[in-house]
Amino acid sequence: MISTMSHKKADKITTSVKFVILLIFGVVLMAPFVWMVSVGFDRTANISMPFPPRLIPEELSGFNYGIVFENGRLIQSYINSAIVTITSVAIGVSSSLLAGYAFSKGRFKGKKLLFIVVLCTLMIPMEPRLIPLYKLFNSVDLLNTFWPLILPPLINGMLIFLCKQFFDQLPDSLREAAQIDGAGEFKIFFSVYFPLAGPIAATMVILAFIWSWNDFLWPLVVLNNQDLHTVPLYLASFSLENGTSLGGLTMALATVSVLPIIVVYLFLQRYIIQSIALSGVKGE
Amino acid sequence: MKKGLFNKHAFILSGLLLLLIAVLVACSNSSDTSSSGQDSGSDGGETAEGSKWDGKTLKVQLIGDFSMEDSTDPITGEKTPGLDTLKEEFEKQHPGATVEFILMPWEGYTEKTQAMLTSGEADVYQMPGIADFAAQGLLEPLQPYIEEDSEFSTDIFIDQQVEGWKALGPDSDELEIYGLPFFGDARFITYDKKLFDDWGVEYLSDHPTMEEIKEKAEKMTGTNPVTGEQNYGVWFRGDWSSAFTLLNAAEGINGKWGTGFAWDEVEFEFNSPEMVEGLNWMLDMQEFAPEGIVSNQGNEKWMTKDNNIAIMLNTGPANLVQQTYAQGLEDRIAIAQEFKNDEGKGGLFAGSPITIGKASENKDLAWEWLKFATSDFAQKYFYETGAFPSIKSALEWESVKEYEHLLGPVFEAMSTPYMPRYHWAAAQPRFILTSEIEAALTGKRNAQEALDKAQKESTEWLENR
Repeated sequence: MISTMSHKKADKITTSVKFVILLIFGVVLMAPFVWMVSVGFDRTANISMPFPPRLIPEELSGFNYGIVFENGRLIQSYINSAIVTITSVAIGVSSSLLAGYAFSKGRFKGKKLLFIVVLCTLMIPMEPRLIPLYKLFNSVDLLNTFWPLILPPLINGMLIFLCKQFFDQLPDSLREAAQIDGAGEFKIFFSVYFPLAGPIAATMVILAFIWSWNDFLWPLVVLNNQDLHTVPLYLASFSLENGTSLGGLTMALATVSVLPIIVVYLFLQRYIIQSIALSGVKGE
Repeated sequence: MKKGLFNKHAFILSGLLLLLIAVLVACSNSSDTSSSGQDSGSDGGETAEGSKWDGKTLKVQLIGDFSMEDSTDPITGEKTPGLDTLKEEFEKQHPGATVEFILMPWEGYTEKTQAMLTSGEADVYQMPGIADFAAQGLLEPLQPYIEEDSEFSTDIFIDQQVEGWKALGPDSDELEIYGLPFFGDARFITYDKKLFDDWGVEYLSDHPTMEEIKEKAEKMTGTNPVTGEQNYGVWFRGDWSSAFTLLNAAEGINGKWGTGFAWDEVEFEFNSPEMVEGLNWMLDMQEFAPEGIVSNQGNEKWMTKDNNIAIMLNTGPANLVQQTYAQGLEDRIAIAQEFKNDEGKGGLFAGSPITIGKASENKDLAWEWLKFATSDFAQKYFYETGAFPSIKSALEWESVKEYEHLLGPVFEAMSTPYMPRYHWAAAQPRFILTSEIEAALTGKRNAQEALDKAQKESTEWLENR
């Protein structure tokens, strides 16, 4: 009896210690975010950054957020980013799922060579491709539209590679069984493999979303009209010449720009974990 | 079978959603609309029938935090007029013409400008990197326009500004005018008179020497005798702009970065005796600065009432007046000139020129814009929105005279920079030099070794270009 009680007491203490440790870690990890929000509400932070850093604003004010939302440009840039991101993610993930499946389960000539070519696209950074791509879209009169932001992710080496690796984990016996039942390739993909691809699709959506949402240089080059600017371009428009920026305004901008990313993470977090867990499944 | 995340219906729905978005995207094609979102028809002034500018659209690229609409100044909270003000005025002066602005942030402006020039996207460009683009033959030489236009004279600009922006064309051996001075900029030394008073140290002279700075910085490093706070004599950036601080120190003792303008004629002198002496001086100065100058730290209290730094080297005019007055420091902040050589020249030449693209189909109208952009009306507008003017008449504006104790020395600094300017500062040698200064400041190498290495690597870069 005494032993059981002391066990319970020990468990309680252990739980409490764990809770306190986690709480400390949580506070430490959250502090920069809280500070960012706080500085955004500090009217004096544009004149000089609060030093030493403080969590309570010296002069609490919505002034910086007022500037951020002024003239409706932030809302417009959110709408633009949403159009670009949703479309390019949908196109990129769909095409990558199809391509990944083909590279994994398909039997066709030159498959390995073609896959190497796809992988090679990972080795060329954006900067050397910038001018040729720009000229290409200029020649078809698509500059200053969203198409240059939506079409290039159609072939995304990284996503195709991820998909192929995922489908490699799934057993070929599923495909063989469906073939015996008389299903064609598309039927097999959509009826058998596609429903199982939820976790990897979610992972790809998150990756593609972040790439597209944060993309700066390419949208900067192809979009001239401010009405078409995406969120990163809108944020950059507040930077000063020497790379510095005004503290309060910058933090207010950072706060409003990071919110969609957080929301997407909160909704899709479990799929990432699921995807990692699933990658250990054997294709037997 | 286990029910998956997706099914056929969901896929069809996704497809329909995709189609809807594609239609939305297609509808958002607005390459024919201006940044201002206005129609071509201007309401500014009557359109004279058969006007010279009828139906002509001028595309003007600008870099920075500009806005078409009126916006709030993030420091003062006052309303600043949008670019529509300029658009209306120019279209009123040039009936029939339409101005469209292409606005871009500072980040990535080089890549975007390069892309725009290759496709003739704009007629007029704000162009800090003028030397590179002129050498590629992408810019229109302006000398013929200046000679043919009896109404225009380059005498309107602050001394050295036109000279400073000259560049080499693709086939020329001599520097030519490819851009007019648009926004001014300068570097100077700023100091806090209150700290000088607290320590009983005489204010800086208008043209201080390295010795004077060193002597006074040393005196003011320690515990402030009045406030009891820790004070530092000096601060300078040990990273991003350290090359300019070093070059200016060398100029103060008649040194220079090197010679030549065309890349095949450039010869660096990064390890000259003057440069070594300059870097050793910076190492001495480091003793009177707070820790962290190499990572741009230690100056957090600068421009506040709690300031703890007496002398700030290599400062620029951005937001100088707004910040000084917003903090109530107008009686404390003062300016001295950077180090000058025996010819009275020294310090970074900076700012932005304005140019015409070679591919422009509206060169005459573009020239009209250049004149307009450097007129009192436009320069005053830009000054009120945070930029610095490049014309002499600015000294007579009431809005400048009001802050003459701060702005007078800035204008003087603008008229006495080192020439030829550091046109290589946007290229690799600047970063090589910066990295070696950092190596010296962090004790990895002594001044001589660091500059020998910078000289060697920069020379190799030149040879392998």
